[in-house]
Amino acid sequence: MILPEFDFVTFDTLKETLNLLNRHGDESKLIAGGTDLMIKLKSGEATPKYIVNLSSCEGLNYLKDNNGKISIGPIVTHTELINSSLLNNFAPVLSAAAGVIGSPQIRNQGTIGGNICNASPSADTVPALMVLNSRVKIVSHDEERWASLKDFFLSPHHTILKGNELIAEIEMEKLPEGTLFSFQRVSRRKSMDIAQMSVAVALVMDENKEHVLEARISPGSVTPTPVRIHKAEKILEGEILTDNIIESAAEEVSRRAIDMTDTRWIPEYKKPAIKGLVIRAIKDAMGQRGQMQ
Amino acid sequence: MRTVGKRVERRGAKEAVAGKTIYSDDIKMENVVHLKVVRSTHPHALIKNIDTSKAKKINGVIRVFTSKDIEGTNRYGIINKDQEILVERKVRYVGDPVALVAAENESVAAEAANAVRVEYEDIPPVFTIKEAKNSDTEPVHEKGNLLFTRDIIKGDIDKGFDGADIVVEHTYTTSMIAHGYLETEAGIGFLDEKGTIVIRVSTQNPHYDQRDVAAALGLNTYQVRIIQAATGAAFGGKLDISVQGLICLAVQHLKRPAKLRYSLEETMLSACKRHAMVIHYKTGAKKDGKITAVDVKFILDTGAYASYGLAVLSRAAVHALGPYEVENVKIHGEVYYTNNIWAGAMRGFGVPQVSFAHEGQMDSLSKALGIDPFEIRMINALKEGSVTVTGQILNASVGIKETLQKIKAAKKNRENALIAREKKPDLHKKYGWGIASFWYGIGNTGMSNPSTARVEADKEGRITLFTGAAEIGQGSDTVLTQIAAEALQISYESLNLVRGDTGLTTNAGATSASRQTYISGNAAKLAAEDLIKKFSEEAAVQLDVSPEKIIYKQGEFKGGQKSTNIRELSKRLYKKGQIPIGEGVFDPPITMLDIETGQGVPYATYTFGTYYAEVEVDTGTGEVSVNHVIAAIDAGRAVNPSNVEGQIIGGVAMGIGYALMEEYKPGETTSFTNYLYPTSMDVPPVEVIIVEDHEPTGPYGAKGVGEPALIPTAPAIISGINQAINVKIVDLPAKLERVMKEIQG
Amino acid sequence: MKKIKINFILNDKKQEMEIPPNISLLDLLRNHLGLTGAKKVCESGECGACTVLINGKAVNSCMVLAPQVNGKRIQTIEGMSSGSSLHPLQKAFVDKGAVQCGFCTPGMLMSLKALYDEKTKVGREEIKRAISGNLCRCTGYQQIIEAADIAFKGRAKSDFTGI
Repeated sequence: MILPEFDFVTFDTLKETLNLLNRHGDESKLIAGGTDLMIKLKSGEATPKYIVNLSSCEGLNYLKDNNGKISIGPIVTHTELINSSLLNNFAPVLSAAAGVIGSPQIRNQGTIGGNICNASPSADTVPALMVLNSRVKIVSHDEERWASLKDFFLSPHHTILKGNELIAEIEMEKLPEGTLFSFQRVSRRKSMDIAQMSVAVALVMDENKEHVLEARISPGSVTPTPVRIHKAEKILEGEILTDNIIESAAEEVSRRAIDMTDTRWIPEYKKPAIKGLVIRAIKDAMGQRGQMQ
Repeated sequence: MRTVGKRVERRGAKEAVAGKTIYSDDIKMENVVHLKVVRSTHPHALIKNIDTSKAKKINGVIRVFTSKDIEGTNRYGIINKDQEILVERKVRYVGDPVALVAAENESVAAEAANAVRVEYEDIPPVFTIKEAKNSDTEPVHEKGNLLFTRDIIKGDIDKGFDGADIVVEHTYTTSMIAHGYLETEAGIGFLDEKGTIVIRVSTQNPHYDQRDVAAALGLNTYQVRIIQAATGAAFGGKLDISVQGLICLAVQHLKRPAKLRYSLEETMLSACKRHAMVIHYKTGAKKDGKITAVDVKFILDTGAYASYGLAVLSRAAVHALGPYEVENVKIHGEVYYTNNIWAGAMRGFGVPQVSFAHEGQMDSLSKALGIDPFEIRMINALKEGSVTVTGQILNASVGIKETLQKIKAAKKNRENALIAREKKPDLHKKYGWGIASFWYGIGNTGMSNPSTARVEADKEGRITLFTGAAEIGQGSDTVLTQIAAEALQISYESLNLVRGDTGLTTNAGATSASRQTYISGNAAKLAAEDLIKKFSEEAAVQLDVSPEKIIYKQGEFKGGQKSTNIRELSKRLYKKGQIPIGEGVFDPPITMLDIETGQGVPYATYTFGTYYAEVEVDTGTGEVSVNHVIAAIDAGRAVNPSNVEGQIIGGVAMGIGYALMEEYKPGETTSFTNYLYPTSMDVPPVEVIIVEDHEPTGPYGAKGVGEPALIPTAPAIISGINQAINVKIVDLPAKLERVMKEIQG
Repeated sequence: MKKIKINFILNDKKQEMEIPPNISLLDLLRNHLGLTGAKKVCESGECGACTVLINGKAVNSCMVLAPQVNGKRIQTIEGMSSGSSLHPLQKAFVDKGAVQCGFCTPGMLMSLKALYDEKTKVGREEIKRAISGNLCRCTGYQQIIEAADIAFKGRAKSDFTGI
């Protein structure tokens, strides 16, 4: 593989890393897993002067329960997300999403920070993070700010990150015990494929697990930037879910996804398929009620 | 049998698992030159000028070759010699090679290739059959865009349709497909001490390579030596000249070793693909299911160059009827040039395409007449004594009915599973199953395609089999060794093998048409028998008895009370200055197809089979899963059951891709990112049933399996989808969008 | 462009090198270390033929920038057997006919080794998933899965002492 020339820098501390980004951010690219960057270097799309290695940087690799929230460092790999008992217990939608990314090799290398920052419309972790009301901590040499995940994305492959910034933390809600989750995806084959479309669903249930108190639905790969379909969520909230109600909500997701995007962007296939996928996801979530406790 | 029929250890497996197998790109040489091809970005254009000045100035560039440097014919082609090593006058597809950079390292070579400036004068291109047929602009090749036609006429088609109670007519289409071998085209060449250009290369036919490369470059064949390097699969994609001619050109002029490897993107862009086909199929049958008439018209797009276009056309025509006996048949096929990527040999050579059609027709008949899919095939299936579509009488080894019966019986074991899955509570999931049958002629269609082999003993009596047959992962090294060892009555482990080296072996013909087990196997067996005969003659001398009295068994020659053995005899012969050699030649007894009626004996033997597939369709999303496959093939004799199973399961996996997800789109498909074929998660459990209806003319009864393994998979899967959601899919692949469209109605 | 010093462990041996940073681990192995077991195919992380282990985890070496291996433990196919003794996975591949053209074989074995070193008892589904990032166009995967299954089942009885 022929790669352009660059200087490779590694720092042990975040401070030094941010220092360099402050001086050379616009001519730098960050590398953690590297699976997206290597493709761009190979194609010539990226020709950075510096490649800044984050994998040895302290303070970026953690996954913890943080006062009723879950905090994840940006260089946590997808494999680590899959194996995390914290996530499997309280946010299985995220471990499920990480579990369908690429291949075992890609999952061992790729990171949650990389998945978010690459900002592909078909990024798998994003719909899951959306239903967990996630936000990211953006740091630079001078400042630190938080942004909701929704606000983080500007357009396909463009985020609000400036050249001298990086994500230092991804924080998400820890939903009540008994919340039902599902992550579903359509791809052309059963491994090593990007999502044709995906959907993450979270249903907060009442004590009897009959009524939906709160519904969260985020489709993936069908809008340029990630969204929650509130209209569809409202159809489910307060209800005991019947096939008709589920279908209604699914149709709403499909309708809204198309409204939000130029129809040229969604081929005829996706209209009925989004609906089918959302039905599958809601039913899958509901089907877990018997398995809990 | 001591060896044949046994699951002996594959030759080369121990090296492979240790990572020690040396493929072309693994070979290291000192002072090697790195080559990079400059390719046309225009589909149809005259080359006005090639400006290499900028490229040559780059530090590390040794030379930039164009067609001007080629001293021979600059023409090659496996059938029609219409392709050039480097294009001289006119490019015909995006990817046509126009210049070759030689540099000190890979990155300089790439940089220089980008710096070569070619001036083109565009000619209107043709991209569809319609355009190719109707265009009044300059054709792709001088003689016109229609390359060839093939007709097969048997009986009286009008009478046949008159006698039919029902007529079923459909148009089927299939896509261009990429071979998907993991090892891209690669080779390395050098000058040996005698000045011979030696090229180690990933190939399926080293002896053919030698001839075409030498002629193209103005060399004598003895000046070029092709050694097949370990080859990381091919499936028909490594039969044409690829890197060999370019490497030879560089070594010839630079007198330094030179290497070339295509990137995957380069292979996707410029290496041949499977022909896309359009098939109009009309079938007439009686109420009782007997087919009375079949009328097929099909068209192939062979792209910019002919490659195997003619052979695919002929084979597709012969096989279009399917493994059935029908009195009245009319088949007409046409192959056109276009400015698309050229199409060539790929596993099945036209039969995966036509079998999709003929089995689709059987399913339609089955449905229309209310006759069980097994039954309708049994009613029409070929058997011993049948007359084929080309008027050939099949004398033996026609196992199609047995495969149908075996599948039917094996399906019974699936009844519980089929019932259980229907019970799973899911509105969206629909389930179906399908079967498909096929036949496949072994060897090149209606033409002589001999194989030769040699066995030689050294002075200690250790024997080596020399064969030109290329091993591409399909197992010929192992199987040919087994056959020869069996005939020599020695152990498999004790027989050495030298293969695929024009300096040491003789021509075995290409590893294609599933022919090596049958044809090279016979050649190896004959060579072994010839060696035994020669030893027997010497044994008669040694033991002082007449040659008819010599009895040979497992290395020992008995003459009356005395005996001698291979080792002793070898010693004796060497002392006399004679080397014990046995030689064998086998050419399947065939006749050419009549140019007007297509009648003749195109193959000496056929492989038959039936596959069964269970599918699951998610009607909410259009996703199809294949849940179970049972594959039955009449292989004549499984020389190595592990090999046969491996080929069949591999063929099933390839067929799943062909049915559901593979589609090569010129200009869009660039790499494995957008050309998807099955992963481990996409292939369900496959049960393999090997039927052995011995072929009397085959080595120990064996026929061929390599391509048959793939053929009925996609038709069986499509049949299952059709049953599951009550549709009729006539276009491949049945990808998400297509299935969803059918569901939506 | 500054060269980078890297220290890492390769097949249990310490390595210290100075390299240009703009090469992949795959090119480092094949061109600088003479280890051609890892194969070059897609160079985009789509086929697994270049799979090696980094700190016991399977990765596509074409997608790893060579400097990133600093301080890590790398295993390649060349280190899988112990002297002339094949690893149980390798032996099972040979016995079960899991090799056809052989090009995917090193990558497959690496992915399976990662699983073998991590877990003792695994079912077929897990084996299937472990190789879901390794393309094979020849075998259809079944004999590979069967071979791995046998290697896993036989490990109580195995006295292999490789890495």
